[in-house]
Amino acid sequence: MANDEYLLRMVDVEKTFPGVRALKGVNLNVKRGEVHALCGENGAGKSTLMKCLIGIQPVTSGQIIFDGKPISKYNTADALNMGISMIHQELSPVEYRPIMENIWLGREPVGKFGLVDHKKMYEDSKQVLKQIDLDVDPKTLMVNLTVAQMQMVEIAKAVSYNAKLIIMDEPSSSLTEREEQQLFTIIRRLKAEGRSIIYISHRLEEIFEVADTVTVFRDGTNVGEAAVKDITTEQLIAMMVGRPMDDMFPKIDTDKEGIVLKVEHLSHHKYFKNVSFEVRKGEILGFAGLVGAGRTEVMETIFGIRPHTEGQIYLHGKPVEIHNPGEAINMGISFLTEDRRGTGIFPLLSIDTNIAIPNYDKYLTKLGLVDQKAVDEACAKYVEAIEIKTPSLKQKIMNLSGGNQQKVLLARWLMTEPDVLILDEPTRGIDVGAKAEIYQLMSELAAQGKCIIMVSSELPEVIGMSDRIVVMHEGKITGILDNGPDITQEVLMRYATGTDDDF
Amino acid sequence: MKKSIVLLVVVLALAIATVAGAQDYKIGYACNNYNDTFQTYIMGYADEYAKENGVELVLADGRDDEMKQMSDIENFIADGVDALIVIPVNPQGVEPIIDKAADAGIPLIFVNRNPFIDSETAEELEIPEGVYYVGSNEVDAGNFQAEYVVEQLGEDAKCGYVVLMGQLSNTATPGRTGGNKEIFDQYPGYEFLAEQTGNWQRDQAVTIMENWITAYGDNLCAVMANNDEMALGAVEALETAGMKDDVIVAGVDLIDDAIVAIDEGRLDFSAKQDGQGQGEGAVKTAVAVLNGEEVEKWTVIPFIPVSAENVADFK
Amino acid sequence: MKAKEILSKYGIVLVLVIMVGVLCIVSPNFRKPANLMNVLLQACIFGILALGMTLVIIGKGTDLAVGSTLALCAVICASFGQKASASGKIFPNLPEMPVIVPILIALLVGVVVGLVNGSFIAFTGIPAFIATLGMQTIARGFALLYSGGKPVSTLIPAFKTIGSGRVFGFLPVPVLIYLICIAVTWVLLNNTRFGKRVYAIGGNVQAAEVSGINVKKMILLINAYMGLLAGVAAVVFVGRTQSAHPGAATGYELTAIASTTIGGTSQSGGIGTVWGAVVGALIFSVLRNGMTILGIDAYWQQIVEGFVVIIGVVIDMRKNARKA
Repeated sequence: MANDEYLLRMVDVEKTFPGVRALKGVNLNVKRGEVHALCGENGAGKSTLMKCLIGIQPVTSGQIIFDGKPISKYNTADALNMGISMIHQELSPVEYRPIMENIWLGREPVGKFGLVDHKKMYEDSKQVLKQIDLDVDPKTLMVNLTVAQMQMVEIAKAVSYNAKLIIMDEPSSSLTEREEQQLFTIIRRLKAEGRSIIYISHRLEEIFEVADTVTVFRDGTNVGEAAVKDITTEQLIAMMVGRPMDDMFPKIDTDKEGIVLKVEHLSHHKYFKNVSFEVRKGEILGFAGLVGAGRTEVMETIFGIRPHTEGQIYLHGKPVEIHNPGEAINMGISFLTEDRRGTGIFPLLSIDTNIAIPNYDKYLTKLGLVDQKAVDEACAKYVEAIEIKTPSLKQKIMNLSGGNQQKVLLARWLMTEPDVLILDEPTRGIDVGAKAEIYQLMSELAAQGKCIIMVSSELPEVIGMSDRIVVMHEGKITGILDNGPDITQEVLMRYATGTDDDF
Repeated sequence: MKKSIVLLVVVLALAIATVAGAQDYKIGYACNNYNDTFQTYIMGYADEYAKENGVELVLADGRDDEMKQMSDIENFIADGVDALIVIPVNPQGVEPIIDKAADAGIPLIFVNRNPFIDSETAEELEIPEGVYYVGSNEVDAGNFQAEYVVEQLGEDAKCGYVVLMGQLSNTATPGRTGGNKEIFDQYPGYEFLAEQTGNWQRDQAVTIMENWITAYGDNLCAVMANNDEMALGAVEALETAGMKDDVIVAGVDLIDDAIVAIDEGRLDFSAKQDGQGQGEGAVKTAVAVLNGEEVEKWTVIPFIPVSAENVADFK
Repeated sequence: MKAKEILSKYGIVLVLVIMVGVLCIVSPNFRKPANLMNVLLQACIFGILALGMTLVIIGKGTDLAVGSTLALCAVICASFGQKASASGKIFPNLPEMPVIVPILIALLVGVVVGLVNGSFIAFTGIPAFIATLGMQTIARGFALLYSGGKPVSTLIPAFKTIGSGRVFGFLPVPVLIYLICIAVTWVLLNNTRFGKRVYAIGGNVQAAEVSGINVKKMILLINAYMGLLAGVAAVVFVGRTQSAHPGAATGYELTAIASTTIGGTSQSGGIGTVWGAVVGALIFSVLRNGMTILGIDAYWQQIVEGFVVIIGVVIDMRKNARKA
């Protein structure tokens, strides 16, 4: 055991797909008992590297040394048995089976006659769940768990394999703040037990909170490694994008004249009550609050996805009734939803179709057929204007990176030429570089006189981009604040948790 | 990808290898449905006879789908057959088949299912030029079934009977059913209870019979089935209900299962549809027409009544 | 790389070309022009159904009722197209109608059945599989009820023209009708908002809703179009058989789904092309025609057909797997 300090060493790993060099000689060294963060823009090679590590894909060349032994030509089952586990970003549990069967899936303990020994399975599961402090009956069906609990079960599964290395791919992306803290507690405990964690994340705050070491990826290779305690956020961002990010939030001063959208006493029997606010031309109105505060539901109501029980919406001073998204679009409202994959993209369709889908009415020939040439020209204009990186308009959108997908969706809504653009978590799950571009675009749009509502859970973003900020707590507005130097994350958190309430 | 193409080519090549060498006459035999047991017997006899006499018989399965049969016939004609033998899927819709044969200038022989009986009036229709029919007189089969019942129970017996009918589109169905009623109507004690189509199928007959047992119970004393498959279905239902000894079941066709069942005393009667006669008759007729001989437009192949007394002759 | 791409995209066309090529070489009777026209003729009915099925499946639906819908359209169509002299008429006092009447009635019945299917799916939220499975039996039941279980025959001569007439002396009328259906469906799917929305619904129904698409209305329209094509197929069917049998077209939904699937339409929705449906239908037709002409045992024919469906789908899945 010469390299005892390192549990895992990946040396000059290369991976080529037909036509693409996804990994160009990557080196990664993970010490025993450390939390090692991987960060970098989407498509930088983190996922590919992890797929190689857990045996989903073979490496093209290079060496993987795990626990002192070189390993090669193994599959995921071998990896699990060697002690490498991965908690995927999108969990895929067997939903209608109990926790215990999910943990022991594929290696169920058997008793006499080769029948499954449910009693042993139950006891063993209890044991493992106790190790990670998850107090749930192992017979509970997976479908009844929260996302956070499902994740814990996955971690329990890793523990049950006696994993030495646990890879977590964006584990906090769907967790609440409290759940996130629980996750960090577990991570620290796993670390204390001598296990190593590879932690992939976009959220820099997390990396600073939980990781010991960070390796930054860019363009299929590792561009830097540092001990977390030795670097600053700015340095890390600079490493990720390859240039210093001195201005993340490029605000442009605009004239804010005339109320475009006004909402009065809007209520929904379940999600929110008595919501009133207004947006002016050229204004960016931020919506802050905790997950579940009802912000998305308010926006869905304005857009006609959800009915409201009370209240009135005014557009340009006139009361309007919006029953479905089609009507909202016709009235000049656009809505970029928070769930890009669920309610945004048509993954199998081309970029032009994804952009044009609500807009075909504008590009018809005299016969009522779609004028594809006009559509392509219009789409090309937007692709160029907002710098969507794609070889062709006919590329399927699923082949683009998250940031570019988001830009395609922005193009879709810009093409409807809205007066009101509602953006729900516009930068969720996209990399830092793309984020900056989207901020730039938002500022330009406001300067052109659009009014923008931005719902966001990232406080720096809300503070950086908004002219005014609406904060919601448990379905009610607790504050509508003019943005300024005195608005800090702490101030917003006080409103978001209901500690402060102006109404 | 490549493998799949290779596989396809191999399948086709195998198929080619099975093609027999050319013979004097090539005749297309369009069966209505290979799932129709009795039809496969007729086809077997026809094929055997053809082989013995140096005739090449090309077979096709209509899968009980008139469009598939239409395609089979078109394909036969494209393949250059000298004559067509057809068991029509839909005997009431044979005009396009007759047209196609006439266009191709080849003789057409319908077998077993008679298209030239009006489905409403049971009148015989005129058979067009170049078209022939080889089959039985369906009314005879119905008569034989009913006469057997009367013979067993006596002319003055009080008895309720039901009829399991074949497919309604098939002209054998009204023929046989009508044949039953023709006899029973002469005896006032015999009461008609119900009729329903079992589509020639044994499983459907079981269900129908179960319902009739519930509905008529002890009033039931005879089941007239348009074919043996359905008769055997009725037998099963009656045996399950413990009523078999009280009810006479009669079928038509004398398929192998029926011979066994009559021998074991489970089935009472069957009118033997002479499959051999029909199959051989069809090929004979085709060859005779091709040889320019004078041929009957309608070759009648008679039914033979079979019960426990004479079943030994047919084993 | 390039050749491989072409192979993966047009692999199924290649299979068709190879099949036709091999058959032409080994069978002089197959390659006769008259027989090649037969192949087209025999592809018409399930080809037309496959066109509609392509739309339905791209929109993440399915239609297990097309066979019985066809039968229902056919018997109703034929009942309005009987000769005055026909015996056992459904409407004994109905005078002879011009042929356009039974045709329009067939199309109307098809659309109505499609709308009913669509309503079940759109307004009750039951899966298309279940709704149309129910409709399979319902439509068949209505066909039997309407016709009293008996075939409707003795039709006016115009149906003969539809079934066996030729345009320009060589093109059978059913093939012409099929070509028109192909063209209309192609334009519908590729050049109209409706078509784009079909793909959108199949690709991501929630995103479609957010994009302002009225999904319920789309489901109604898609199923109505499928019904319309079932009506068209029924008219061709009646023309070809000169009669309409309530038990007709049993199992045609499976042939239509199989043709569509072989042609590369994905069962998970959002992917599919009109030419794929045409190639799929032609493969079936070539297979049946070729095997009969080669004198292959009918039992083997069924087995081969089954394998072709599976092989077709395997090719398709590999194609999509490579892209993902």
